[in-house]
Amino acid sequence: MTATESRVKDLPIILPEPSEATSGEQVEQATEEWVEKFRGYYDQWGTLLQQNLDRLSRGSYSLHWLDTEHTHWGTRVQPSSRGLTAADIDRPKVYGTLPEHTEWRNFAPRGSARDLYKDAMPVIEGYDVLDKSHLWADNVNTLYEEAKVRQWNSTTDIPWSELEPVSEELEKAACQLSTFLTEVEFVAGDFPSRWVWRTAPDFFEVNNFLTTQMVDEARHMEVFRKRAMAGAGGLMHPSPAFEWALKAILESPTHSQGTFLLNVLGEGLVLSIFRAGEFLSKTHVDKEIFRLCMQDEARHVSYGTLEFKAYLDAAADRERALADMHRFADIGEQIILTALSEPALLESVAVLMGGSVAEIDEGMEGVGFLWSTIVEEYLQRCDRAGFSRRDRCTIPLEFPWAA
Amino acid sequence: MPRTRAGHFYIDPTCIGCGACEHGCPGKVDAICKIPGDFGGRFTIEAGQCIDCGLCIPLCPVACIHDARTEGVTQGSGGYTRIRDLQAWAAPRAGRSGDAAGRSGEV
Repeated sequence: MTATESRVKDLPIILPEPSEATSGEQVEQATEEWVEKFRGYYDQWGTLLQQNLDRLSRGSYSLHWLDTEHTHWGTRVQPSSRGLTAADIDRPKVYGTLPEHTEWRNFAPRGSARDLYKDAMPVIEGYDVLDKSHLWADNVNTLYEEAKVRQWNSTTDIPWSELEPVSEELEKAACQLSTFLTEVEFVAGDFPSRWVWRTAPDFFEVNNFLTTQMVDEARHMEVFRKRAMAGAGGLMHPSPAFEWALKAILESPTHSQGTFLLNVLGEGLVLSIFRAGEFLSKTHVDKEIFRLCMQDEARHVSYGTLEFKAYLDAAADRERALADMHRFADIGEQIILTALSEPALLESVAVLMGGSVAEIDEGMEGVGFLWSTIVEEYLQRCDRAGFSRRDRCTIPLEFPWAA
Repeated sequence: MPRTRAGHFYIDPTCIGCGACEHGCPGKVDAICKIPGDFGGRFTIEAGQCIDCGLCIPLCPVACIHDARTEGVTQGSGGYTRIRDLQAWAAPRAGRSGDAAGRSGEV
């Protein structure tokens, strides 16, 4: 046993005083597991620690990091007139070539001298999305740039003080729609977060974009929560019908399948609502909220459509991939339909379109147009991805409303 | 800087405003920009700037960017045109029933 190992094994384990037995026991157990795990790795990291401490104690330098033999030293990336963009830094092949499959399950940057250290690197078991085909979209870099320049702040960019009063019925409808949107924006942020931490850092371009989606969705959740409260109304009725759809999205078995369900279908549905926002808005404040959210949502739908296309295009057995996706979509569409047909959504939209509860029948005519817009836009996204869904779509193409 | 020969690429009205194309346009060309004041946040190509490189086309999720030389000039097709039916239904109702928001008509 080395001197370092001896000192490490004697380190005291300091645990916070548990506030209650159950959580305290969980923390204690998790801490113990972590300690045992990294004690188990001691041969690997302890050796490095020993070498480093020995070098320091000798007053010796390594300077190995000055060696450029295994780097791409001298390769200059050139900024375009937009600045140094994500696409610009991917232009040199030595840095910008993404692997179809990566075995690098750690943070060693793509393009660095990492091969020298491969055998000593830890494996992060959590990184288990290792194939480009499960993530990539040809527009991910340009969408990332767009996302960065279109950020906005719901605290200051919405003229909250100018929110005009409307009738109580219209305010209830606006608050109900805001409650629905608050509910769905949660999952639109949580779904990418579930996959970002599983995605190997070699695909950082995708993770960077998905991180902007998470920020966007946090802002959307925030702005609709604020909208529900800003008119002296409040948050209204959540819905089990929404929740089943959101659960299906969050628990999708693969990133590509979940991206289809979230970005192509679910967020597409929300984008259609935002695109109709000009006719749902009863105040210029609501209109501005829809306008700003719409440009964010368009990016998410855009990524999802081309990610789905890239996934199908890269499939070794395209027919099988299509068959699997059809099987997934058969039930996925039905679960999304469960949310789309929820009265808390359709009826609040109908009141906003009609102008009052008394005019809800007229509003339902507008909802009929919105319904066919939602479905047809979804089918076009499927077509763009090479997924012909028109003959199998399980969502009624026309609004199933017996006027 | 405007060029002496106009480009031939254009974005049809079914654009959803994702902006992927804008950043695909070579920086020194910079021919793609948002349509000012458009509620839908759509983009347009300034023909005087466009160099017909076509880099923007594969980035578009709705296939709304066209080369007028090969496809002619269209107003778009497919599902993203369906919102026009909603617009046509909603436009005559603008300003009714306690509506405090201004509506600009066609998106």
